[in-house]
Amino acid sequence: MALESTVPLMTTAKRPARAKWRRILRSKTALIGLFLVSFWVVVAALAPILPLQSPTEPDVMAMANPFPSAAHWLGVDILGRDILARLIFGARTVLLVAPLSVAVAMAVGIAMGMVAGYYGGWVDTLISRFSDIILAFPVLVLYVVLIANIGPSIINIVIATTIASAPGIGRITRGLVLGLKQQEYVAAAKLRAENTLYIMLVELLPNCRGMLIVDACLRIGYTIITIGILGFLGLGLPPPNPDWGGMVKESTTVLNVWPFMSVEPSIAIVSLVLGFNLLADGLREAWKP
Amino acid sequence: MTRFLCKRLIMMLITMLCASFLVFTVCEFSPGSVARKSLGPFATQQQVDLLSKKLRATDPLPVRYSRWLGVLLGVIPDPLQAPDSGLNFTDPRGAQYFGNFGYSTLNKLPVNDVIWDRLKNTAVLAGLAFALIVPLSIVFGILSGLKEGGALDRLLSVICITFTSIPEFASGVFLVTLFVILWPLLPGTSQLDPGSGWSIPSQLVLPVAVLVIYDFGYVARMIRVSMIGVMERPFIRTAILKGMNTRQVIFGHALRNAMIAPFTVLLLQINFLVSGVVVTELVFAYPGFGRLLLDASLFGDIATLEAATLVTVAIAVTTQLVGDLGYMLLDPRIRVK
Repeated sequence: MALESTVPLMTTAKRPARAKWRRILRSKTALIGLFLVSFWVVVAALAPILPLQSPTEPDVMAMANPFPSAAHWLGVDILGRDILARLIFGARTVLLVAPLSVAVAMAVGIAMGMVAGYYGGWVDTLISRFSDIILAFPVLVLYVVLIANIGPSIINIVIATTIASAPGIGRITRGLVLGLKQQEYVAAAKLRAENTLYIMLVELLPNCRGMLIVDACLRIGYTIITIGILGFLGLGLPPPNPDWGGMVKESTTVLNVWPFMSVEPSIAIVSLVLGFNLLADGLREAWKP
Repeated sequence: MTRFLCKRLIMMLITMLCASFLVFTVCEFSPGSVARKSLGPFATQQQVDLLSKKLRATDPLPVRYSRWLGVLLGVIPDPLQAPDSGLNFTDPRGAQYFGNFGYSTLNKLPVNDVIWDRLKNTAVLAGLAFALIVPLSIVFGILSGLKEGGALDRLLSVICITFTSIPEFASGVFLVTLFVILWPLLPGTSQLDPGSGWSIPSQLVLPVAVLVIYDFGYVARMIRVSMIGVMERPFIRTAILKGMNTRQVIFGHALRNAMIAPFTVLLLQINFLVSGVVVTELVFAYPGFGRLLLDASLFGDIATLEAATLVTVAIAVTTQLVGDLGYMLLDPRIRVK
């Protein structure tokens, strides 16, 4: 008790963090990205209370004239279902499945990378070699083989995404951890006899945050494309669910009648993916050291 | 150097072994048997069981995997080609030789008769796409990397990000809508059939365009990041300060250094390109490798699937190796170690 520290307590660095966020708001690309993503999030969240037609009930009368009309703003699809409603309900699926898959993949990948980078030695070799094998597999082939064989469902898409992306995330995390574990604050934590889990979660993870968030945004975008591809290949979620990739696929049969039916779901996919990609770019620029 | 190559070669073999085992394991969970899919929905269960037995699909997984490996290495003859199996599977090369990928249940042909032609077609498609992606992305990458955050950089960056956000199936269907349906300039299918009334080059335009649209932006972004890094280095400042003109600085000093990192990324792209190729080939009914892979995995044709997987893994690992070797050639600092 007699010994009082003469060194003033370190104040937590709040200002740089706030400056970082302000820089994001000033970046035009990040703002456009944020707008696109939040647009779809809000629309998807409000889907049940918006005055929409049913996304699954066909309007048989409208099938003779599938073009946009007062009743169906974006027209109806080949089975007479309202395209606007299907797009918005499709956003719900995509915005549930893609972030969920990436979150699980991030958790697994970060754990792999942390362990490999922190312990090194044979653990690192084992994890890295295993990752190399998965990374040598072309990603889409991995998806198609997995989904075609274990069947399309939300859980299976999450599993496939985790297997396909965790090694890549692990590699990034490992690289970051290799650099960070030499830092003095890690040595200090070890000296305080903190346990390994504490060092990983409290000392290392927050310092990897920026890169990993950017990577997660890019991966969500890529996963949305992959879900679209699976839908397009006929491996999407089972039929009554509106599915953007599946909608593009269906529209190809009526391109001669109404050429732009395929454009509507395409624009939906592109705008959402673009949102995530621009957001990732803006965050990377804003958080650059 | 020899040790390095040997080590990589052994790694490659281990990777291929693991990958092939992985494919076998995943196919275990396949709903519906190959026999059922070959015979159609109206075959009786008895017929299905009989064919399963003839195809030896009822053996446990380790037995089938080691048999497949034995056949591939030419250690044992393919039992499915035995005349008494009653399957009528014949391979002109014989039943026992090194590199025997077995018999495709989907195409009713030896896998070796199917896969190499398909691979050649895809090589044409991917080669043409790559030949366009590389110069295009170098130009975009260098122009936007010259001055980070400048107006030109922002414009080109947004263009690149937008193009990488368009999935192949969307751009494919859109291009078909424009150039096949609304303005019939090009064929909507590219089956590489000269009798279809369209020349082979005209059949390649749209598939190549789709691949280029999706991939060039990504590569350009990589080159941009690398170029920015190089432009901040002291030797560039020195070159500018000693009065060299911009062109000399870019082509004499910056370019070679800026190309080192993207070189490996570019070769890793080949892996990425394969994914894109599957979708593109499906959209345009292109008789390529990607569609073979898709059809085989949907049908459960394990012999074709295994062969295709091994080829793609081999391509991926080889390009990584070429990437590392090229890295050494381009960057003398790595060679010293």
